[in-house]
Amino acid sequence: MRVLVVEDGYEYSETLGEFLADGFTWVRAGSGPEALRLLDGSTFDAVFLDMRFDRVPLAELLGDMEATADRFNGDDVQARAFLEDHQGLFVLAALREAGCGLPVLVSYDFGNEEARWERIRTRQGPVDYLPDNASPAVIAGKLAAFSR
Amino acid sequence: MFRDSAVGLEAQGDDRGAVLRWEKVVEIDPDWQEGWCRLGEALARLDRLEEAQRAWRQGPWHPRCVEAQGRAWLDEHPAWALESFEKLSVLTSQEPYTDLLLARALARIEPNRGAAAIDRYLRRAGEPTPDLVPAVREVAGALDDPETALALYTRASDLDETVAADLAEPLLELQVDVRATELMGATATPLTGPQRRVLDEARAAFGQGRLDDARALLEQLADRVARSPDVWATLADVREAQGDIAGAEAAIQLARTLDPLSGDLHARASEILAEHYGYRFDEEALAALDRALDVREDPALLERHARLAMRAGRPRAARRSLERLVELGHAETAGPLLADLDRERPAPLQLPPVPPPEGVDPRAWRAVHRARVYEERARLQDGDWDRDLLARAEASADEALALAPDDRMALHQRARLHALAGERADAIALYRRSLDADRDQPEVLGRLAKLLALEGDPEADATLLRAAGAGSPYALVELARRDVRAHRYLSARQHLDRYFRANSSSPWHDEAVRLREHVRTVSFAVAAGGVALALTVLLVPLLVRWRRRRGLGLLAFIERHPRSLPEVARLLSSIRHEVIKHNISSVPALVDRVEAGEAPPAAWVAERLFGGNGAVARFRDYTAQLEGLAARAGERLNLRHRDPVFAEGIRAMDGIAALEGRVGARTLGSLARHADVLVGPFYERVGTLLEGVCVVSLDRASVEEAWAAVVAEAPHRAEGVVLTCEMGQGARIRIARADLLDILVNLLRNALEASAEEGRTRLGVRLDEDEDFVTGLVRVEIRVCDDVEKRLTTAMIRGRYIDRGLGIAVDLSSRAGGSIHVEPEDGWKKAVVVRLPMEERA
Repeated sequence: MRVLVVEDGYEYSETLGEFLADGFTWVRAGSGPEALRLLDGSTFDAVFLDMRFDRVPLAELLGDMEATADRFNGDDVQARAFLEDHQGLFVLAALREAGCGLPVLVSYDFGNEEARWERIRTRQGPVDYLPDNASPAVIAGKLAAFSR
Repeated sequence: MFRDSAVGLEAQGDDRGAVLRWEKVVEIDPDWQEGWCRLGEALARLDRLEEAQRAWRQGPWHPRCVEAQGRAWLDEHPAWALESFEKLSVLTSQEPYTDLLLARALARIEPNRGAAAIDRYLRRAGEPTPDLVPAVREVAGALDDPETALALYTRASDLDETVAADLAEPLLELQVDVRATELMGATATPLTGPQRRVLDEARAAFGQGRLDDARALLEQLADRVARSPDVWATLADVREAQGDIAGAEAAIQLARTLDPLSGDLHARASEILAEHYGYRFDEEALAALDRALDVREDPALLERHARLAMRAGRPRAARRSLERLVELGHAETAGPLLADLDRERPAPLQLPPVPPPEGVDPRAWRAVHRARVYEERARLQDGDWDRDLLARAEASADEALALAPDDRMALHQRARLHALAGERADAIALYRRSLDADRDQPEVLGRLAKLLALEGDPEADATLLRAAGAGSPYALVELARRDVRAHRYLSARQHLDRYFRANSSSPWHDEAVRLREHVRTVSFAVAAGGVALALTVLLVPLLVRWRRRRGLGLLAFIERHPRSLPEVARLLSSIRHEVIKHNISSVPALVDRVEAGEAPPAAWVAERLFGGNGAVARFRDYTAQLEGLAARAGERLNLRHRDPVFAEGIRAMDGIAALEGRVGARTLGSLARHADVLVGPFYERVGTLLEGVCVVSLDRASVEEAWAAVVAEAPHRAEGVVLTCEMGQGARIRIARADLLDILVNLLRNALEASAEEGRTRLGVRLDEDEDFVTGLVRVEIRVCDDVEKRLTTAMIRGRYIDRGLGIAVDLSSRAGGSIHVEPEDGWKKAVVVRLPMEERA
């Protein structure tokens, strides 16, 4: 299974490469724009998407900075933090807008926010989530479930 | 050739000739924007303005072209001029003079924003620029609020004597106008005998500390005699003592309006503004003191004025007051303050530049230093690295090595970057190359020893001993650490003594100090013998118990300091994300692998569990940040003993930390057990720790409570005004209850005051929801509706020139992650809308 891992660091790509080498090929994209570029030129079976992106330059964050700042009385610092904290969902929306219908696994615990997850799920096609404490085996299980 | 000729003709004043040459220049090189700029300027000097503008349009990224075009549009198309000046501001990295150009354009569109632009300029500018006087005149002339205009004139005049002279006439005119308006509105009503007795009774209650009684009497009195400055001034004192600063300010401002010839009232208003708003309203406090001094020139007020002006960054105003103090015979008071103003900064000491070492190519010398700078910049705050900057560091180090293959500094820099990239074999090879040239390099030996240990190389221990023998600080501290772990305290002490004899700082200094303390404690305990041991046995448990009992758990801390909630939530999220998700969650896979008979992945374990950026270090950093947050609030957070959630997490993480260097088949059970605690119950409990904390219900009762408080402040104003509420089922939001009430009170007070001024008789509060399509997050909308005609915009609310009740609502909504807007509302003139994040969790 060829999986595009979208994360701002290297934690997932390194750890999954270390512990889940059999049956999986992991390709890393460091930001939303890079993910879109990679999806344009290669074939993948699924996308594994981190939620928080606080290590990428502002220029590579997806989302409208000006409109977001307006959510916080024009405070750019809060706006940037908001875009970073929810960047995974901005990337997900951009993937769908670009016509990507691949199943996406989001690394964020929506377990306590069921109503919100329901709103996202109904809009964003084949998508699932797993909490932060999921082990590599659980991640592999979720991804395998996609292919079934 | 044409360019030189054009420049020469311009110097001779031949603009016609210059235009022909510049036209030739841009024909040859149409991409050279400076040429278009110069052509436009020459055309403008010949009054051929339309052609000039066409030329400037060819230089859309040339600052002078953009500025010239903006100026040309200023009168007829101010919105276009504004766009040009905004672009200019970006192109010049926000040079202060661009604020004045922005102000001139805004004067014609949105003068309040123009005033804010001038304010920004005055805070940043050193010397005045030619646009200052016209900008101030144009913006002040367009403002509705004469007080703001007056403040602009006064502050601009402070900047420079020439500016002061140019603005003197309009300033005088405006001052006279403002004062005349004040006097026209000053219709104070004297108190009757019985009313005076009530006032005296209230003052007596205030003097005895019965603040609620005093306030009740005064508010009743104000209801009956709404135009008595004495009543409002006393009410301001009482409200201030109760901590109701916005209420106190409203009262003293009303008192000033009723009796503008009372210096005391202006001085009192200045005091409230200066003392309670954290420097935010120093300018208004100064203006109030100016008024007080107009009425009565008092030495104490002059000194206060000088100090406040110094604090607000207005040295000229401060100097004026101090010089007047000297004239009045108070040189003793003014002298030290004048000396502060005159203080000159000492010239910085200069040292001669350092040339590269002999025989080193200067280009290699520069390249290796560039690599160092890139490396420093690549280090991110969270301990991670910016990979792009690291790549640049590597390119610079490669360049240095190519130019000077034997230069040791280049070798070491490249080796360090290899090590950072995990390319340890390459790093080791380079360090060995350096040592081949010079074996006596303690620091390099130490680094080599460390890398060899990480590689599991059998030479590691021998190299470490060699490094220690050569005096490597790392090697000495590392050996001491190993000795302590093996209880060889005498040997540890010898290594540490050697370390401290030669070093007063190093990256391992803290560790060395900690080890020395540990060794001393152990040595002392041994030397003190039986009695001391017995005492220790008795005292230590007591001390431990005492320490365990002190301090707060996390929830108790948040209850005491609800405003720390966002920062606490951020740190808890980081623990779940950076510690559990990125590192600990993979431990079960590690355990499975070792149980299957494979060797543990040493590099992964070293980096992800025990590395500087690994689970143990990050967890300890975040818990330390939580404790630091509490310490800044004056509290002791005792996560280890007083917090049930963190106590088990810290114990588990301590257990993992103790396995450093020993992860393998024999310690597998222990590692799995501790990791299970962290990914299981600890993870779950951290996630639910803040559930319900500071979550308040926003419903009809909340609005009615706020409305009652507003009405109690000034019942006469609320007479005949009807408030309607459409709150539906209400909503749950995460905010301190006091903050929510403050927001509601300030919005309702503002709406009521504005309605009373225009004789409107109805207000409304409606609850709605607003959902973000991408994140699925819902915000609760509190829509405060009114029929007031007076203009109010979102920009005005968020700017500085607005009633500060709304300013407080803006601050509080921002702090809660929300926003405030002015929007149209069906059936009403408008609504002030506060949006706050809805609590999603059940």
